[in-house]
Amino acid sequence: MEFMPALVNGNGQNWNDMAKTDAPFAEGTDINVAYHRVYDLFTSGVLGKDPLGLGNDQATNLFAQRKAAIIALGDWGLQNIQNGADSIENLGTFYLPVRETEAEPFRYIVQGDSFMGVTTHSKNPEAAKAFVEWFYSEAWYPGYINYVSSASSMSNFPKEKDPILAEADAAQPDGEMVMYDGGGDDFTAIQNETAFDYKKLGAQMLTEGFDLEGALADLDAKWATARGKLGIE
Amino acid sequence: MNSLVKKQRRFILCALAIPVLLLICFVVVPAIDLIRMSFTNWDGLSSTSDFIKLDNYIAMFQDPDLWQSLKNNAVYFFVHLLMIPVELGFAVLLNSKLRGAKFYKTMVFLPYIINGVAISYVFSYFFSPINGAFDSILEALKLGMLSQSWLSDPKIVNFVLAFVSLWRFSGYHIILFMAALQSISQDVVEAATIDGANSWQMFRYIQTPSIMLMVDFVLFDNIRGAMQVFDIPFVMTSGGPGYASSTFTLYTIKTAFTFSNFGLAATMAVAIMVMIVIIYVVQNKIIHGIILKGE
Repeated sequence: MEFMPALVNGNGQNWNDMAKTDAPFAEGTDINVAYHRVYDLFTSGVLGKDPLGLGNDQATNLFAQRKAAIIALGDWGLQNIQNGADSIENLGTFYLPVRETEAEPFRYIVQGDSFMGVTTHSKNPEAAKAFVEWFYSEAWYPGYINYVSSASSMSNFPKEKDPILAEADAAQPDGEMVMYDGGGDDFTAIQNETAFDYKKLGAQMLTEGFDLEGALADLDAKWATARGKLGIE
Repeated sequence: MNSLVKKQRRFILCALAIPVLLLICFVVVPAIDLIRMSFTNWDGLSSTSDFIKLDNYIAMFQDPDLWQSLKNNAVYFFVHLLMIPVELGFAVLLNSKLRGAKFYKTMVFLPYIINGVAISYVFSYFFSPINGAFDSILEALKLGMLSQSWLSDPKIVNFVLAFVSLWRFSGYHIILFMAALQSISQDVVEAATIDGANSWQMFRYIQTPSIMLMVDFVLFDNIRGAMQVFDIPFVMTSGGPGYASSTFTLYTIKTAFTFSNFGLAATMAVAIMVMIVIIYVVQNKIIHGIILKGE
């Protein structure tokens, strides 16, 4: 629900582009296409018993104990699996396909490993900046990045990809990376104003009687009102 | 004035001034600031905020998800309310000369002292659709057909969560009732026994009226607890699916920390305080003014 709109047309700036329009959920938009694909999958009968009844921890544990065949996680999930598994023998990875046909490019999301910055409202910007610099310095970052399973985003501290995660690259050599932007000030302001929560929307798709068209139309109406109220052009 | 009187006065002054000062610093001033904040659009980060009159209050009343959350709070309130007479009955039973009463007292109180997050986490496994203990128990009892989507069906999820809340807090209420029952004067009890009162009459006309102050407290605690329930839905369902099991507090926290709208969240916090007082006054009027007066 978070990344799919950016993957439909390979637009990592999708959230920011949505902030520029009054009806980003209208038919034909990336997010409309993406959420229809998700909804169609959810309602196609492929899901097991009570998919919302399991939390992420429970699902990861089941997978680590080999009681589930596949789990969708980012690279950060490998560490959790390793912690809960007796053995990771036979564990492999692949990028989750989101395209409709093989003729479309195979896209997958990449993003920075940590979201760090100094807010414009910071009372001590110099101290905050010093902290960010320390985080990405030799004093902290190499040890940190080697502890977590994520890849390094710093060229001066390269990290070899875990062989299990590297399998996904080998399986999809023609994959097209989409650099994901989590959304800038305008998008965040509208999201806060409209209380747009894609994770909740995804969960609601699994409930009885959910009306996707109605939900998207409602979001469009709220979006336009919020843009007007916030004065976003 | 001798020195002892002076010391006494100094002690009384300190004993009064320090708690009042602490109350002003940590309750009164933050409460006033909360009310002030409820009229602003503060985002939680900016050093400034605008005064937006009643906009937050209007937005709060027009938010259907918030009303849904409030409706979910009502489930906790009524489920706990219905259980209060049962808890009172258990307290009377455990207060009598029951074999192993100490063991039972420990057992009923135990859930209350366990961390709420840990309880919620364990119960999320208990109601899990895969390898969940509850479904396994039903299967063992040949009642597998009663199995449901316990934590994801909007029709039942709040009752399941209210059951977990009941499991956790009933023991606390029972212990409070027992403490109150033990404070009843034995002279009154003996006089009633000599007059030929049976167990029910003793419960109805001696014990219950004697502990009305505690009953009042438990009723108030029920309102406060039901309105402020947070950890159980947060850990077990995150308020989902959608807002099906969200509660007022959960929604308030989401408004503040997910959507950075501290002004609106402050409005909700003010509303919850007002609602607790109103519900308590109405409940008190119903219980003392109508039910007890009528008898």
